Amino acid sequence: MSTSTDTSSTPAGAATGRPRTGGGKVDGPAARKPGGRDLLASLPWIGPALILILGVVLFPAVVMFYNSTRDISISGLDKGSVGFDNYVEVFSFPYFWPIFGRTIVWVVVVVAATVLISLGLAQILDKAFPGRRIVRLAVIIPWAASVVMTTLVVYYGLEPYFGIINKFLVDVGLIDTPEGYGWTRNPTTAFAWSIVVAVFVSLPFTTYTILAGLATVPGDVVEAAKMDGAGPVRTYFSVVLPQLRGALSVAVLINIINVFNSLPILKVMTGSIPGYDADTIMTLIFKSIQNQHKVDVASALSVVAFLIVIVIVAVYVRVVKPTREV
Amino acid sequence: MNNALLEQAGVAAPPTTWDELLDAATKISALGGGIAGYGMPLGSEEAQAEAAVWLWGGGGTFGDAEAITVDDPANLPGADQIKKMIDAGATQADPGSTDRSPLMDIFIQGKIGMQVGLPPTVGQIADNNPDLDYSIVPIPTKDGSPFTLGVMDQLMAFQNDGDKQDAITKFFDYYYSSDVYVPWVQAEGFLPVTKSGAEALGGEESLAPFLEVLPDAQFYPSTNPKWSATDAAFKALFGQIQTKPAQDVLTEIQAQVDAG
Repeated sequence: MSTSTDTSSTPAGAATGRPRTGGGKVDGPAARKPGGRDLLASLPWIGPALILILGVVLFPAVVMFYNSTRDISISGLDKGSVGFDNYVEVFSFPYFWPIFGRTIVWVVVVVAATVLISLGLAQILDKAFPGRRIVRLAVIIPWAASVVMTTLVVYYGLEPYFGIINKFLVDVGLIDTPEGYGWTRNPTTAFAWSIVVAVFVSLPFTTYTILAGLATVPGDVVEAAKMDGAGPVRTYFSVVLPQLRGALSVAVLINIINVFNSLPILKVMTGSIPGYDADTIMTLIFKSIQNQHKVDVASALSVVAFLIVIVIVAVYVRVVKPTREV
Repeated sequence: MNNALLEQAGVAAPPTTWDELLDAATKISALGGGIAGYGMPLGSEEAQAEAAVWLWGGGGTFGDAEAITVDDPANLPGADQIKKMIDAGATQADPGSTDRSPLMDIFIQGKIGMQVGLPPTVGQIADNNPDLDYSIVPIPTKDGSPFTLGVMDQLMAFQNDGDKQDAITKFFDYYYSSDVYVPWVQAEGFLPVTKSGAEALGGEESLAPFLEVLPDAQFYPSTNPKWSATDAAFKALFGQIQTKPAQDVLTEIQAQVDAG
C-alpha cells in the first residue's frame, strides 16, 4: 500500500479555508484511473441518456448522411447509390451561392443585432426600478410564444389592403398607395422584416443570459473603477464587458446555431414569393422536401449546412477565444 | 366579376376576349383607391391554376400523359399576355407573390374588378359579404372561344396483391351512392361527378354557370408521372414572370421538370 504523505504540498487548505478531503493521505483504489469495469458499472446510470442521444441525435444523422449518397424517388423508394451526385446537384444549383451568401448575412445580422440590443436591455433590467419584475416577465413573452404565431401576426399586419402595419403607414403618410405596400411580396423587404422578427424572438434568451452574467460581476470591482475616476462609459467597456465574456460566448454560440437553423420565420414571411431570392439554406432544404419531394438532394444540402455551421462555430471559437479567462 | 366596379368604370359588357379584358381591367384600376382591375394570383399557393388559365386560353398546353411541354412556343402568347396585363397596371400590385386565397378575400371585400373563381367561391361570398353585387361570366380567352380550367381531385390506388378488391369495391359503391355523395358535394360546393349526383343537383342555381362551361373544360395532364414535379415547378417559379422575360421563366420551369 503506497501512501504519499506530502502534506506540505497542500497549502491550499490552510490559505483559503477550503478543506481538502483526506489531507495528504491518498487511498489506494481511488488513485488509479477509471477503467473499463467502471464504465460497465456506470452503464445503468448513463444508459438512458446514451440511448436517447444515440436514437434521437446520432441515428437520424447517420441516416441523413447515408441518404445523401442515395437516389430516392419522389414517393420515398431508395433506388440505389449515386455516390456524390447529389452534392454535385446541390453545388451546381444556379441559386446556391446567392443563397449561401444570404444565409451568412442572415446569421451575422440577426445575432449581432440581438446581442447589441440585449446588452442594453440587460443593463436596464439590472437596475432596480419599480415594476422591474413585470418588465422582466414581459421580456420573456416573445420566447414563450410560438415563433410561428409571432411571425403570422407580423405577416398579416404587413398584408396590403387589410394589414394594420400598412394601414398605420398609409395613415401617417409614409406610403402613397392607398392599399399599402406589399412588404412580404418583395424578396428584399420580406427578408428585412424576417430579420426584425428573428431579433425580436431571440432577445429574451440573450437578455436573460447576459443578465445572469451581469449578476456575477462583483460589485467591488465596479466600485473600485468608480473610485479610480472612470466614467460610466469607461467602466462599462473596460470593466463590465470583459467580465461578461462567458455569458456572451454562450449567448452568441447558441444564437448562431439557432438562427442558422431557423425555418418558421422565413417560411411564413417569404413563403409566397416565387423563385429563390429570399431563401436561406434551411428554407431551400424545406422547399426541396415539401415541394419537390427530393429527399436525397435535401439530405445532401443538410450535410452541407451541418458542415457550414461547424465551420462558423469553429471560426468563432478560434477568433474570439470565449473560454479564455479574463 | 364585381358589377358595381365595372359600372363605375364605364365598362358596358363583360369582356370575352383578352383585348376587352385588358381594356376593362385598366379602366377599373384607374378608379384608384387601391382598386385593382383584374386579380391575378401568381404566388406559390396555386400558381399553376392561373398559369393554365392564361397559357391554355392562348392556345398553349402543359403537355399530356406522355410528355410535359411547358416551354412549347404555343404557350408564349399566354405568357406574354400576362406580362402585358401586369405592365399595363391592370392587376393588383406584386401579382408574382400574391396567393389566391388572400386575393379572393380582397375580391369579396369589393376591391377587385374581376378574378377567376370556383364553385365554392359562391358560398364564400354568401358567408362573408352577401351584399356584394357580382356575377359569374365565362373566362375570356384570346379569341373569345369557350374555355374553363377543370380541376379535379383524384382517388389513387396502389397495386398490391389484389386481396382487398372486394372491400374497395364495397367502399366505392357506398361512397358514390346518392345519399352519401350528394350532401358531401353540396357542402363543399363542388360539381358532382356521378350521374345520380348530376340529377339530384341539376336544379342548383349557384352551380348553373359552372355546369354551362363544363363541356369546354381542359384538365391538367395529371396522369403524366412528371406532373407532380411540374406542379411544384410552377408553384415555385411561375411568379417570376412579373420581372423576368416570359420565355426564360417557361424554360426554367421545363428544366426543373426535366431534372426532377
